[in-house]
Amino acid sequence: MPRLLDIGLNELVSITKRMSDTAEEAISMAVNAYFEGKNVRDDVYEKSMKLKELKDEVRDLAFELIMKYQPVAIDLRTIESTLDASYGFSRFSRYALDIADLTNKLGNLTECDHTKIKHALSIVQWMVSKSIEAFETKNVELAKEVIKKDDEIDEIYNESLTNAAQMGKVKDIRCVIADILVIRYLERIGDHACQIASAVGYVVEGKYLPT
Amino acid sequence: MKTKIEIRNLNVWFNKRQVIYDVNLKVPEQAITAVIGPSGCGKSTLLRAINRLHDLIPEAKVKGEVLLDGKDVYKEDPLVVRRKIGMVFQKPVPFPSMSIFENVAIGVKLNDLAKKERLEKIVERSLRMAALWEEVKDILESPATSLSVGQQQRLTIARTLALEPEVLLMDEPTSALDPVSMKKIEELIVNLKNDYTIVVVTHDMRQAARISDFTAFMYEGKIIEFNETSELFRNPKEEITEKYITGRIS
Amino acid sequence: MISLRVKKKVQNTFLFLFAFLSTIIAIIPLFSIIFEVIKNGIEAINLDFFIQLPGPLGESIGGIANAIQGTLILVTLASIIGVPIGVITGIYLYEYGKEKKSTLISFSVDLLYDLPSIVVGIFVYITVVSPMRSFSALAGALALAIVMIPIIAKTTEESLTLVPPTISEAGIALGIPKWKNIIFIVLNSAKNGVLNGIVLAVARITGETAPLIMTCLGSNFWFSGMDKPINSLTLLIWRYAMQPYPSAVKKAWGAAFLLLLVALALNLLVKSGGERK
Repeated sequence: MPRLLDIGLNELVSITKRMSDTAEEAISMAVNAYFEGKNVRDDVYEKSMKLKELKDEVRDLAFELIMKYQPVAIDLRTIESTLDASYGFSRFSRYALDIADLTNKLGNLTECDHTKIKHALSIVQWMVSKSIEAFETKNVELAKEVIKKDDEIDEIYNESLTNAAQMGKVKDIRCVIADILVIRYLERIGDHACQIASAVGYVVEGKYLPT
Repeated sequence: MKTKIEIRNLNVWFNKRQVIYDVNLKVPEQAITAVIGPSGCGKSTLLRAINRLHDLIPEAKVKGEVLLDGKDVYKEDPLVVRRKIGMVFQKPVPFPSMSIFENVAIGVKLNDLAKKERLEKIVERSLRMAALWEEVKDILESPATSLSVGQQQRLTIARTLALEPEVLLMDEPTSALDPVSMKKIEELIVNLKNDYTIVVVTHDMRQAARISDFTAFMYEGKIIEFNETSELFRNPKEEITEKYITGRIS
Repeated sequence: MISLRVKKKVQNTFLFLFAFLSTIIAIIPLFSIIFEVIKNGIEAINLDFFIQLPGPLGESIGGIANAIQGTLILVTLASIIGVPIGVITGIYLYEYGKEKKSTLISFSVDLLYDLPSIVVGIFVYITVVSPMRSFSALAGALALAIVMIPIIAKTTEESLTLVPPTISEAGIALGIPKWKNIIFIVLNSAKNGVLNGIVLAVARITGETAPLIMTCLGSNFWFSGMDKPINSLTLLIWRYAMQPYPSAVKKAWGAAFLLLLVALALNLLVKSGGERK
């Protein structure tokens, strides 16, 4: 027979899944719009608000379970890390919103060279999706891989910063600015993905994985 | 932390049936150690092996060592051992034919530990330590049975404290009490740990989490895990421990 | 077809009536005895009754003073012997009764309990009266003590057993030796039950006749020494009840009435003792 706590924990899992789905969607939407020059700011904003709502729901449910059942051990750690993860997901959408805003603020960027960004993006999208998978399946090995990838993103970010500082005259300054900003946002998204991955270690082994 | 009681290779049988298997445990001084585990796992038996209560039961056989400050209690005078190691039981048992005063004083009296004049002081001190003095100071001569159950349990604690023991063993001290009394006794126990080494057997895990510094988990006569309470409850090392404290087995 | 409810009601009423009537039938003899004793005994009660010796048989004057004195002496002496031995035996049975080594004692106590009191009388006759070549108060007291001991032993053991084992355990946990625990903690908690048992045993021997017949014989005179015969209320009743002299029969009824009052008083004592708990 399932414990009373399990009913609550399952509910927590389903809300978190909704959050992670919504966050992933927000990131794709924002980035694709960036490449295509579309303005999806309002849509991404809507997703962001949804995530804020869901984050509050997670928090409420977590504390209700703590009050009612005084969970211990793996149950307690699961609830703790779910609170961490829900924060991470809400940050995903925040940065997605920032990216969506760029088209707004800087205008049409379809002519810029997006190769570097596309490379960074594929890494980050992988990190986001795998960190969510690791979290849902409590897969410590996968989590470790996600954390390893973070170095690559950091490298790309540092590289683009150094390059931009050394650039002389450019055709379109907006591309450079947008580039750096997007990579910065992607790097932050990657960081949060790492933290989510680190929390997987906490749930399974009682210790956060080093990032 | 210094070890007050060390249990080494303890094995206990009842009528040839073994109930405690090779228990090794170091009970830290001036701290509260909780012993948790499902019914019948041997926690009460373990407790009673510490103050040699099994001596009275011919069907019981005890092998192993229980060291109090390094000396094996099974090689010392059992009466002295029991004065140094006091015990509080699940059912509050004030002695029914005696007054409140007599109940607290009886252990001291029968052990010839104090002259009559000192008894009053001892009784007052013990009742104060048990957080009962204010409630009974004007009715010391009334029968102990006229107190509420929660007060009776505090009375038995005072009775034990009157002997100035070094260790307090408590066998499910709040099981028979209502929630308010339970809370009072829990507060009392936590206050006492500054002066005594306390071992509490409890089937209420939450209680163990609330009041103890260290927790030992017993299962089928063996100590499965022993650790600081916060560590054991947040990150247990053994699977059975985890299963038990999360309520997946009982 | 009678409804189930009516059937049940009828059954209940019938059973109740049956129980009620049975009780009445059981009580009738008791009440008739009490009634007869009071009716016939009251006539005999006057001051002389209490302070005068009976005098020669058939004398219409005199009282039962020596019988009262005799009963008092015999019961007191028997208690002095019987109570301590009985209580200690009871304690022994409580603590060790279940062990192999005690089977003999335990069995003996049971046997003694069931022994007809006349057999006790014969025993004391053979062992005390014969060698002494005289009926005596001592022999009578001994016989009564032997009757008392198993009663007190059993009630003491039962009272001690009724004390919850948690109390004994709590006493031991205080580091007191076993004997102190039994006496000052367990026995102390059981003292009402033990005292009740003693009172009941006293009531019982006050009314015993058979053991006294062969040991103290009875007498018409005051107590004159432990080694001489002595009278008792029961012996007097036994002697006088079937005499042809009405004065003797009257004294016997008086004595019976007195015994009834004593029994009543002792039973009331037990009842109030039970409530004192």
